[in-house]
Amino acid sequence: MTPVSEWIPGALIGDLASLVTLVFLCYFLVINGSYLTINVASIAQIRDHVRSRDIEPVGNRTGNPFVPGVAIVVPAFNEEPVIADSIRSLLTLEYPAYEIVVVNDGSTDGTLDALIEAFDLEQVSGDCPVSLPSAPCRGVYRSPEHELVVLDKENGGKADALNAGLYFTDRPLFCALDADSIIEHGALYDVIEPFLERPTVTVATGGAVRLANGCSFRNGIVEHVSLPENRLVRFQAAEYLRAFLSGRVGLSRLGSLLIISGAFGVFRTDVLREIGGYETDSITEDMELVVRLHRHLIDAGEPYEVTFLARPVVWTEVPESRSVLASQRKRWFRGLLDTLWRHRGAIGRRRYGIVGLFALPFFLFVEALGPLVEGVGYFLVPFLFILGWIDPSFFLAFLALAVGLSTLLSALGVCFEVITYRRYDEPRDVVVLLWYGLLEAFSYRPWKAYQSWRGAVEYLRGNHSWGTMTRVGFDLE
Amino acid sequence: MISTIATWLAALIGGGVVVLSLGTVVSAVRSRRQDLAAADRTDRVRQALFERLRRDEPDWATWVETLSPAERNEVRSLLDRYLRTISGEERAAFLSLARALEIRREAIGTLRTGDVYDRRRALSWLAILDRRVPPRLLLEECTDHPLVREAAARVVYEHREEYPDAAALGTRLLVWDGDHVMTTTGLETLYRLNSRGSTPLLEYGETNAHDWREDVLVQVLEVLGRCQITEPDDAYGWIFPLFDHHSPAVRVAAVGAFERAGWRTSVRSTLPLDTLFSDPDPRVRRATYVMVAAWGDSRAKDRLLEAAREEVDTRTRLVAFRCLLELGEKERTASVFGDDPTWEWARAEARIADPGLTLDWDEHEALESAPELEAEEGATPTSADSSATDPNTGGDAGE
Repeated sequence: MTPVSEWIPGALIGDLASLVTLVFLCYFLVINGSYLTINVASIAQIRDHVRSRDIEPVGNRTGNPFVPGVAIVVPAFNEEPVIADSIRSLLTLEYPAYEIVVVNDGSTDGTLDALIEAFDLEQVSGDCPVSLPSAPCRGVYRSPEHELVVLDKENGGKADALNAGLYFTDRPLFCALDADSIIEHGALYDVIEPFLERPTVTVATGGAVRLANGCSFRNGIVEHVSLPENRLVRFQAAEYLRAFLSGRVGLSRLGSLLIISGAFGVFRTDVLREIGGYETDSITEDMELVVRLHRHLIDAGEPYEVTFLARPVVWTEVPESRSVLASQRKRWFRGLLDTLWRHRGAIGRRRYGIVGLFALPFFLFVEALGPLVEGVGYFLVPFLFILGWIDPSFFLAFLALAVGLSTLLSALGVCFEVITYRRYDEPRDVVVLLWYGLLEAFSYRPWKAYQSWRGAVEYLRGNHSWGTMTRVGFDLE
Repeated sequence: MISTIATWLAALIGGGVVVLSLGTVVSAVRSRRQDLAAADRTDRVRQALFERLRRDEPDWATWVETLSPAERNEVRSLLDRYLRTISGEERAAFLSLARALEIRREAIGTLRTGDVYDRRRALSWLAILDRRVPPRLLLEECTDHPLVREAAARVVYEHREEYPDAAALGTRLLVWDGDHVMTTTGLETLYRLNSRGSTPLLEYGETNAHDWREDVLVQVLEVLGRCQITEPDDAYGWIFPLFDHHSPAVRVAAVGAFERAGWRTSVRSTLPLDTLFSDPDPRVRRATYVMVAAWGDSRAKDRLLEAAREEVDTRTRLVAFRCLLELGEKERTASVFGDDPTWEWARAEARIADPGLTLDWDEHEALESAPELEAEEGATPTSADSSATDPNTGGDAGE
C-alpha cells in the first residue's frame, strides 16, 4: 500500500486507485464549491430580503388598476374528495383580479360533478371557438357567481391540461397550481410581487413548496405547523429547506433558476404561448418549460427575469412511504436527464450567458452526475479502502469532510428558515431538522443516490411513466 | 499532505457546523421568547394607547418618555398601520403621537444620510404623516434611485393640497428621464396625480416622450388611458404618430390612451380607425375594438359589427362580439351572424354571467310580442345610445 502522503504526480498517472481518488476529489471540490457559491448568493439575497421586508410602500394595493389579472389554472385528475374544498379556498385569496380555471383532465371519478354541484356551474352551450392545443375539450362550465371556469377535457396528462388553461384564458398572467395543494391567502400577491415591481422584465416567478404533512389547516389557512413523526418526511423537510431557502434563492440571485415548481408558479401568458406552452411528452414539464423560456428569451435578445421567492408558500403532501418516494425521485431524475438532453445544445454555450455557462452545467455536473458519481463512490471508496489502496487517514478525513459539508449545507437551510420565515418556529422542530440534516449523510443521501441510478437506468430504457402518488390527506378542520 | 489538508478542512467545517447549529438553535429559542414577549407587549401598548386616546389631553410626550425602546418600536408599528387606514379625529391624535415620537424629524434626517432602503422607509413615514416635505429636499435627496423617486412622488400625492403644483412635481419625479420602468405602485401614484383636474403627464409626454424607453412610453400611455383628461384636444397631438410605431405594444397602449376620449369629436375624427382596424397585430385590433366599444355610440357599433365580419383571428373576433353584447347589440349582431359558433359562444357566456342581460333570441321574440312588456319598453328609452358613456350599461337592460 502506498500512503497518500507519499504520492507524487509521476506515480499518480500509473496508479489507478490514486487516479480515481483524485477524480473523486476534484469532483467533490467542484460540487461543494458550486453549492457554497449558491449559498453565498442566498445569503446576499436573504440579507436584502430582511432589509426590505418592513418597507410597505404607501398606496392602494387592492384598488390599484394596474395590478395585472391572473388566471389560476388547476389541473385536476380524480380529485373528487378534495377539489371542492381546494377551489373554495382559492376563491378567498387576497388578490383584486383573478379567475380560477379548473381543467378536469378526463377524471374517471366524480371530480366534475363535485364541482358542478358545489359551485352551481352552468355549461356554456356550443364548442369553445378558441383553439386549445390539448386533448379534445368536452365542455366548458362557468359559475354565475364566481370567476370560476371548468374545462372538461379528455385525459392528456398534467402538461396537456395546463396547456388547455393557458390557451383558454385572457388574463395576462398564468398561475399553475396543483389541485391537491393549499396556498396561503396572501401568497398570490406575494408571488406576483416581481411582476408588480419590475413589470416589464419579469416573465416567471415561483413560490416555495413546503410540507403539509404534520400541519393542520382551517378554511384553507395553515393553522399549525409542526414536523410529523415519520422519519422519511423529516428527511424531506430538511431537504426542502435546503433546496428552497438555500438552493433556489441562490440560483435566482445568480440568474440561474431553471426550475419553477409545477405546484406553484406564475408566468406571463403571452410569453408561454409564444414558446408553445408546456411540452406534453416531457417527464418534468415544469423544468423543461423554464429552460425553454430562458433559451427563447435569450435567443430573442429580450431582457427578462425569472425569480424565485421563498415567502409565498404552497403546502403540499410529500410521500410517507419509501416506495412512493422512490417512484417520485426516479421520475424527477429521469425528468432532469430528459430536460438536459433536450437542451444539450445550450450547455456551455457563451451565447446563453449565465444560463449556458453556469446554470445548465451546474445541473449537468452537479445535480445529474453528482448523485451518480456519489453512488459510485459509496461502493468504490470502501472497496479501495478494503483492498488497502487508500490511506485510512485520508479515507476518514475525506469522509468527515463530506459529512461536514453536507451537514453544513443542511444547517444553512435551517438557519435561513430561523432568521427569515420561521414556519417551523418551535425550537424543538429546529433541533430535529438540524439532527436530520446530519443523519441524512448516512442514510437518506446514499438511498437517494441509489434511486438516481435506478432513474438513470429507467431513462436509458425509455421509461417515461409518471408513477403514482399515494396521499394520506390534509388535516383539514 | 492531502490527508492533512482534508483533516484540517473537516475539522474547520465541523466546527462551523457546530457553531452554526448552536447559533440557529439559540436564535430559534430567542425568537420564540421574543414572540411571546412581543404578543404581551403589543396588547399592553395597544391598551395603553387607546386608553390615552380617550382622554381629553393624552399627553403623549410624557407617555413616550416612559416607554422602553421595544415598546417605542411597537408604538411605531401600530402607528404605521393605523395612519394608513384611519381618518378623522383619531388620525389627528395619532399624528400628535407621531410628533411626540419625533418620527418626522428622524425621517427627514434619514433622507440626507440613509441608503435606498432607509430612505424608502423614511418616505413611507413622511407620506402618512402630516406636513409636506419641501420640494427642494425631495429633488436634492430623493432622485438618485427610481424606487426612492416613487416613494417621494407618493409623499407629494398624499400632501397634494400643500404643494403649488403637486401633479407636475409628482409626475416629474415618477417619469424622470424615462429611462426606468415604474412599479405598479408608481403607476397608481402617477394615475392618481393626473386624475384630479389636470393631466401634466400629457404635457410632459409631449416634451420628453421621444427620449423615453419604449416600455416607459407604454406605461405612460396606459396611465393616460385611465385618466379623465380635461386638457384641450391638441394636447393629444404627440400620441397620434405612435399609431405607426414599430412596436405592437406601443400601438396597443396608444389606442388604449383614447379609451376615455370618445366624447372629443376632433380626436375621434383624427384617429386613423381604418388603419387600426386592419392592423396586422391582433392585439392592436382587440384594443381598438375595446376603445370603440368604450365610446359606445351608434357609429362605434356599426364599426364593431363590420369588424366582427372582417376579423380573421378567432380570439379577437370573440372580443368584438363581447363588446357588441356589452353595447346591447344582441339583436342586430344575431341577425347578421346567426348561428356563427363564435357569436353563439359569446352569447352563451354572457347568458351565464348575467342571465338578465342576454336572453335567448327566441325568448326575446316572445317577450317583444307580449303587450304589457311592449308598453314597458315604450316607457323605457332605448338604452343603446344612452349607454354611450358607459359601456358596462347593457343596451338590453330595457328588455
